[in-house]
Amino acid sequence: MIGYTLRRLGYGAVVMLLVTVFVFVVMRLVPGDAVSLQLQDTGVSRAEADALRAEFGLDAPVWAQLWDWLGNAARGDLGVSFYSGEPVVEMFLARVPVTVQLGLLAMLVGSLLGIALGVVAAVTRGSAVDGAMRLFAVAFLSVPNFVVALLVLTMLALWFAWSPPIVYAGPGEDFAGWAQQIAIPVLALGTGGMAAVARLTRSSMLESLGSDYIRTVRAKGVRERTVVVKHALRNSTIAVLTLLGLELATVLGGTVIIEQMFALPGTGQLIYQAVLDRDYPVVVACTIFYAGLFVITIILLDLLYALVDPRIRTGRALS
Amino acid sequence: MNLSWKRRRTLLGAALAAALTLSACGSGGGGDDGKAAPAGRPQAGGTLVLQLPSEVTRGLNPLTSSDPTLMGLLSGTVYSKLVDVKTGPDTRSLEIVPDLAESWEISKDGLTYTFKLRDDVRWHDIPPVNGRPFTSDDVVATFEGLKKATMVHQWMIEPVRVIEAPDEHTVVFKLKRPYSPLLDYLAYHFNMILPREGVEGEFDLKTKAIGTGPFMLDRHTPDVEWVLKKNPDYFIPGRPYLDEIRRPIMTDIAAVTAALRSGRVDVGTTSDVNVAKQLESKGFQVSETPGAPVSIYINPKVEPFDDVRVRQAVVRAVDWAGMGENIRGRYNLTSMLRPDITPAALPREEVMRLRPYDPQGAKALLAQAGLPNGFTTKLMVQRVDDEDVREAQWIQDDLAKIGVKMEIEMVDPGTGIERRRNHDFAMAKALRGVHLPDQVWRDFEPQSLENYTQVDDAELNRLLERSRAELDEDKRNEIYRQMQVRMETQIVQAVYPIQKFDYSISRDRVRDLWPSPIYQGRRLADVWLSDS
Repeated sequence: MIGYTLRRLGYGAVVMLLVTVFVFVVMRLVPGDAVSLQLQDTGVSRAEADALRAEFGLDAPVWAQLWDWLGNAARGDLGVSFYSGEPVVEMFLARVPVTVQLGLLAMLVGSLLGIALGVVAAVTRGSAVDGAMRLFAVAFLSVPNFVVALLVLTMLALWFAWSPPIVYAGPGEDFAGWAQQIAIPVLALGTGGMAAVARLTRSSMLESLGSDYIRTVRAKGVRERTVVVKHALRNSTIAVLTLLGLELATVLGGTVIIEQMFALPGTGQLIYQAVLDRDYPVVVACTIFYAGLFVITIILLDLLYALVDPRIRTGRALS
Repeated sequence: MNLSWKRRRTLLGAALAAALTLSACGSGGGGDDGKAAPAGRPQAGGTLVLQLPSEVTRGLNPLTSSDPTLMGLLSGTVYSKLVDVKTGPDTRSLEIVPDLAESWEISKDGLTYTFKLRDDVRWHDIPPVNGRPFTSDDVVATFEGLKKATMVHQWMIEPVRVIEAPDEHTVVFKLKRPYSPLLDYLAYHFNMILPREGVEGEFDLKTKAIGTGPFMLDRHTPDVEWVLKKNPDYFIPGRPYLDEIRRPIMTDIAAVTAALRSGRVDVGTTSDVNVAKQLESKGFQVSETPGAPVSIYINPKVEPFDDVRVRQAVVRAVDWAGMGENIRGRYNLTSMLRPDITPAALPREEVMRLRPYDPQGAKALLAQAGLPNGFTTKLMVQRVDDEDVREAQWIQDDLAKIGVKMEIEMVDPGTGIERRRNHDFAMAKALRGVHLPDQVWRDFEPQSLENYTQVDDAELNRLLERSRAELDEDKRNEIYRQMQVRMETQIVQAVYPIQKFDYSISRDRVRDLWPSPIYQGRRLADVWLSDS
């Protein structure tokens, strides 16, 4: 088990290195740089622009820039923003809490509601409730999360002349304000996951409920509620866990647009602006964060499988 | 001719106001320009919530950054300028009015500008400046700082040889050669007057702003909001009316619209005429602010645009007025210069005569150029708003009618700027963020970084030199008109076919918020909130 975990961590590190190098190089191949953007409309000369480029180290060949960057990164220095001059690690850490709150709450809402809906639909298979749930799921799977957010925002404003507070305050400062501000983004980010989880839970629950061991459990006279929750649901969880891992990517991707829409000062907003501004150090730092989070989640999920399903645990232990 | 520029401008402005209103008749709806606020006596107090479309990204120092967001936040609010541009219900053209300078004189040879400064101005009461009186020494320090600066707008005062302060309330600019645009540039939002302590590094201008303006910088939450509060010692008695201005950073127009409806935001801006119309019907005040020109570049280094007839054909094949009316709603049909800034801008009829919508004529021009069946080309479109995309499609459709198959290539602003500067396009479309006539022409000087289509026209260069040396405003405007005609008929490498408008939407309680052609925050000193 420990060897397995270490191996997974090693793969994860390689993936992160590749992703970082890829983004580092590709960002520099996209036309336009921070210098052109900063000096836009100022009327300065080409020589001045080149001087600023040299200051940022953008005049060196890409491989040389990469080499320098890797050297500094190994010492824990990810550089400073081309715009504010702040160290990117600080900029980034200041914005992590918002995105983590948003991501975790969205995942939580999505998975809890999704599992509940899925179970209800499976148990009432073929009924109107089941039909409604399936329609609902297809609808939310097909509509992008920012459209959901836009619709909710617009309808609330039109019908009730209400909109969330516009100035972000953390949950510690102003809980009510925070809750109002983060509710629509969480719902919007959570619905896609919810729909996917509900569908998957329903189908794997149906498979479990129709299996021989459930028939055996029922034959023993166990209460239906125990049958559903303890026996069928637990065995359906593996597939759902895998899906949740993939959903995390969707949720994190979604934060980029949603944070921008709702003026939430998180990493999604940071990376969005940094890409438009060609602020390479910030883009690369954000990439490392997103890739790292994803890699770690996948590893955690692998470990969770083992906890949920003893067959995986013993299988790995034997090999 | 020691006549004050101010007076001359007023006269001209009045004379041209009527003509300009007529020339701006391409309105497709919306409200009246500069809609008058309902009657009522201004009252003091309250907090105005005014959307800020993006975060200030490079610090607050105007000697190291010319970020438009920075200008929108500090110019005219926290910092004053020597002179300013007028705003108000009847303003139709750029009119220079006093700010820190109460009057000025220009010598006959145009080489000496003498500014008489107000003697009742104090800096904000913030350490280390601590509310000391503002003097001519601060003006000297600011412009000396600017001369030493790099990568900002120091070129605006390049012809200034020396700035002297004969006494505490007089500043004299001595020039190397006559330079007629100087006063316009001094009124421009970049040229805020800074305290000597800041220029000399006693405090960091990048993080702290101490000015003489109607508002003081109070606090900032990164990526969330900026807050300005009233300067109790502002030099104009009774101003500002507002106690506080909050500038929440909001990028998304749907979120702004929702916040306007719910009353969380007082003023927001959009370029979408439909959003503006919809909110106007719901009782919001909509004021139409003249915006940037839509700019079209045609690269003569790419075939078949090396032939001027092909370039002429392309600009005549497009129904620019129809485009403006259908896509922008409110627009001005323009040549190179902005009618809201200068009376030298060619009026609508003149533009239509020089650049008629004439598909038949365009076809004939193509045939003369040996391309009777048209050709295939590409338009690189810098996308900021949806309108940019719809305009590109409009151009595409019109060109198809004369057999030109144009492919649209969408790029983000970063890519757009880079490729335009590297002349890497056949046709390009953007929005050029320049205001003053001299600033517009500066793009087309041969060595300019923004000379995207490499215009190098001896006659145009000669006219530009003449305009800078011409101190008589009427004669200077006449030169600008000749330059526009030359661009439209002979050069045809850049056309600014229409000027777009932005829509500033405010809640009913916001009064006396007048549009300004440049980033002009001093107008906020006149804004007040009614109870209703």
